[in-house]
Amino acid sequence: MTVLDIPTQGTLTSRPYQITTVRHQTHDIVTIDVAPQQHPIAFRPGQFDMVYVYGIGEAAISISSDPATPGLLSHTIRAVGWVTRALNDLQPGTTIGIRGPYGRPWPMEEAEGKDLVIIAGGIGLAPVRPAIVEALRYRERYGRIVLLKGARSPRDLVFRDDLDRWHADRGIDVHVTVDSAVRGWSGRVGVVTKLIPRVPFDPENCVVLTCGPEVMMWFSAEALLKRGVPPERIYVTLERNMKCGVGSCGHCQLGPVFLCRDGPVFSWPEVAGLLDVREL
Amino acid sequence: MTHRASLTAGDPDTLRVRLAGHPFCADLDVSHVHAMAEVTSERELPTGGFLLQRGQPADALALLLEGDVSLEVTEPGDDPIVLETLHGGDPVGWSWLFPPYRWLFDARCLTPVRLLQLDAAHLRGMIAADPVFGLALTQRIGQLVVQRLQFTRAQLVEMTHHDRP
Repeated sequence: MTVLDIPTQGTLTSRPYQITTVRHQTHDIVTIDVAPQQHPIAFRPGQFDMVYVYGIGEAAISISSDPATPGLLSHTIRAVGWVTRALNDLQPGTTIGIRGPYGRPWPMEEAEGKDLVIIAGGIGLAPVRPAIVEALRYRERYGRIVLLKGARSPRDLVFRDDLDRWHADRGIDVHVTVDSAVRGWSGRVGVVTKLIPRVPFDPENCVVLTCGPEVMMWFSAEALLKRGVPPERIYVTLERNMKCGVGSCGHCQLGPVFLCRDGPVFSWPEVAGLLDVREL
Repeated sequence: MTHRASLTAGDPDTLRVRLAGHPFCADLDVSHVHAMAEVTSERELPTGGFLLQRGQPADALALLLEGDVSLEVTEPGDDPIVLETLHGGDPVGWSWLFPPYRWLFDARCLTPVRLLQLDAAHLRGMIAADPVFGLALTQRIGQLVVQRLQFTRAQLVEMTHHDRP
């Protein structure tokens, strides 16, 4: 199969993909696997697609699948709006439109030779999942790999199979915590940022990838800086209401940057001041 | 503190070393660590044992060495609501420092737990008698309270925040 590695900035035409599998992650989150009806297009961990439900509209969705298999794309979606609710209701066999991939990916090359720390809150595991899969594929390129995963409750945990598999994998150090639990949950309870001071990694020689609610990322960055991680080694991925995906429409503008074009992945110094903006 | 624990080690030198190595005592003056060791015992609790129980006298500061503890509140006939889990390296409880010296929550062992237990009445006496020690200890408790408050606020935000797609 030919895999196209083409520049997509400026591409506004969606391509048809057929849904092959719908996996329900939680009560309001699904992962949709799609196969291209034309040539697959390569992507990098951290990039996103504009996913089009014909007749309803488009939404920017991070790619959550393995970059090594671009012929099988996965998008993990929480039902919060018209388009995402429609995506949650689609069945295998349905054709949807996808354009992309867009955006700046995670800095996987910069992390080589260093500890790789990944902090994910809620559905934030989806955009970092390709980075984890790729890092485990090329395990020898990295030092310690640490995943700190937070969720509101045990029932809100996504990618449970992956978490179980990674738990058993000695190549990655997985720590899971939930904000709220009742009897039956034997794991940690508390915010994910609480794990940062105590898990083993080298703060002076690491790269951190963070994805989740912005408040969580802000608290995480504070804890990482306190531990001695250089600010330029902390990366976050931001989301706003993206429309065009190519930096033309301005819907996702945050101060001087367009998240779709300049991000969605940013280093902490690039956006720390922007997250304090009260009104946009 | 609910005494279902067993005393495991009372050797003063061992206690000093363990106290000095606990994160709660990091950078504390050596003389203060030695003074605290005088009112410290090492204890072990089994899985399911209660470190603290709501309404009971808050008579000790616990410094966890190993094991996991669930800080929780229970309503009669219902499952406990877990507020937070605490782990080796964490201190447990500050109600011993403030009247009426009673625990407000339960702390239940999720695993076998080993801890240092510092007698609260003696600690309060030491705080009153030595202002330098008193300031050092109360600042640490203050930091602990602030940190837990920040975590709790973050927890509240995360629990009420609606993720984007």
